[in-house]
Amino acid sequence: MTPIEELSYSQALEELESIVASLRGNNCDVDTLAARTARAAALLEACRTRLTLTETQLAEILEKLKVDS
Amino acid sequence: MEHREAMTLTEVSRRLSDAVTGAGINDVWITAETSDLRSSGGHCYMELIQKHPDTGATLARVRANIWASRYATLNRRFMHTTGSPLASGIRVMLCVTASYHPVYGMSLTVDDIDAEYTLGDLLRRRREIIRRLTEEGVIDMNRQLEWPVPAQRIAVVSADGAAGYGDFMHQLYLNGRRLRFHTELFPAVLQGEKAPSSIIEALDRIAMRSDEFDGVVIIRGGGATSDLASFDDYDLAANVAQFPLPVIVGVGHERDVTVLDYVANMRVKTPTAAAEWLIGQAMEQIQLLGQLGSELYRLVSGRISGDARQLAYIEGQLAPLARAAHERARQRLDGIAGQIPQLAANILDRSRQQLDSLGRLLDILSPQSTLRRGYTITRSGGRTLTSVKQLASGQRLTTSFADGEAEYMIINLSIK
Repeated sequence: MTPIEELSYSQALEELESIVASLRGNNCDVDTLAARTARAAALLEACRTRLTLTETQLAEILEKLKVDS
Repeated sequence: MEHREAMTLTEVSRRLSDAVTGAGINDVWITAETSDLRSSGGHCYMELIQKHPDTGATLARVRANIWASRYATLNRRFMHTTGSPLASGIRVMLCVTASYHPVYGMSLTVDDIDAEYTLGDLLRRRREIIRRLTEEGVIDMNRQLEWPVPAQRIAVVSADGAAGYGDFMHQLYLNGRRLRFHTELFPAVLQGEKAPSSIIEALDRIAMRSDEFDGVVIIRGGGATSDLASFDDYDLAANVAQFPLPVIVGVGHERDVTVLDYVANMRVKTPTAAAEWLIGQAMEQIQLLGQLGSELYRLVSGRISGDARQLAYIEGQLAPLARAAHERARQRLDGIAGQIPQLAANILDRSRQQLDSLGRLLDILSPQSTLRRGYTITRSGGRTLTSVKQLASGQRLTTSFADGEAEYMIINLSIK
């Protein structure tokens, strides 16, 4: 399994969708359910992080906008 | 020293003024191109020029003005027809009167403008550029580019410190969604004749680092400062059409579509709208992730509780099932046990009947019963005789009857 930080956003999203599809398709046995769910949660978190700013980053940008204008 | 007769400058001006007034340029319609157009104190000042159609060299240049009493009305009408206010670099048809001022020299005073002429010229120029780009096969190239998902790294072409740039940045970051974007400003002139070459220069700088960006935004605040001509430029349109990254154009045209709007991947009305579009596509991703997350939760928890329910059900079923199986086995045994005496009796009965019929058969077949029915057995010397040919005269015979034997001798023998 590729480390998540090496995946592009679209690759992470694709893997996430395939995990959801495999769960939906019911061809996932209980033995691997926990591992798959953990991977999916990590992918989800990584994708969200790439889309959104932390409070600190937002504050920095607002400060810059204030200086610019 | 003898002084020549010399004319005063005011006399020269007076004569020039007479000549200009007498030149017949009084409420005359002319065509020209505008240049250096500016307004001051409610009046509008400009240079009218005529260029060589091939070389572009200036063939004629005359100052012109529109007094405040006419300017507001004419500019409003012009804007109503063409979608943009009077500006530099456009072709116009004007009704003018020539006059000569002793201090400011010759100028044309504009009394009326035929905005349809400008509109027609702009449309012609636009059609010509579109035709050329279509022939060259590049017209759709930028429009057909797909935006990377998510589009977060944006190169911004705008005038530094311009209101439009501020609007864009504020909308992008102060939308309350905390979306992550990376923007870099590539300053350019977005107004007037220099705009096309300045924008092309900024695009060239972006193109050299095109792998660092997902797309380009060309923005300018709208309103009264917008001019029509600068975005209907072949070189600029060709550059945008063939640009390797998708381009959003938001240059503040209210109702008019320039060639630039036509070739760009996306056309929006304002810088704020450009930011909105970027926010929208990021929000789509956020929503998609939200849906995936909740579906994941639903599937996994459903799966786990489904398995748990299945186990509980099986557990609950075990005891009754075992009891039922035991009961069935017992009933089966009871059934078999109940049948045994009858079966045994049947077997004995059948055996007895068999023995009876065998006894009867034996009885029928026994010699004793044959003798009783009147048959006899004749022997001679212990041998049973079955043929008359075994007999001879004077032979001693023994004949057995059912109830005794007779011994005798043959007196006469006749064989048939």
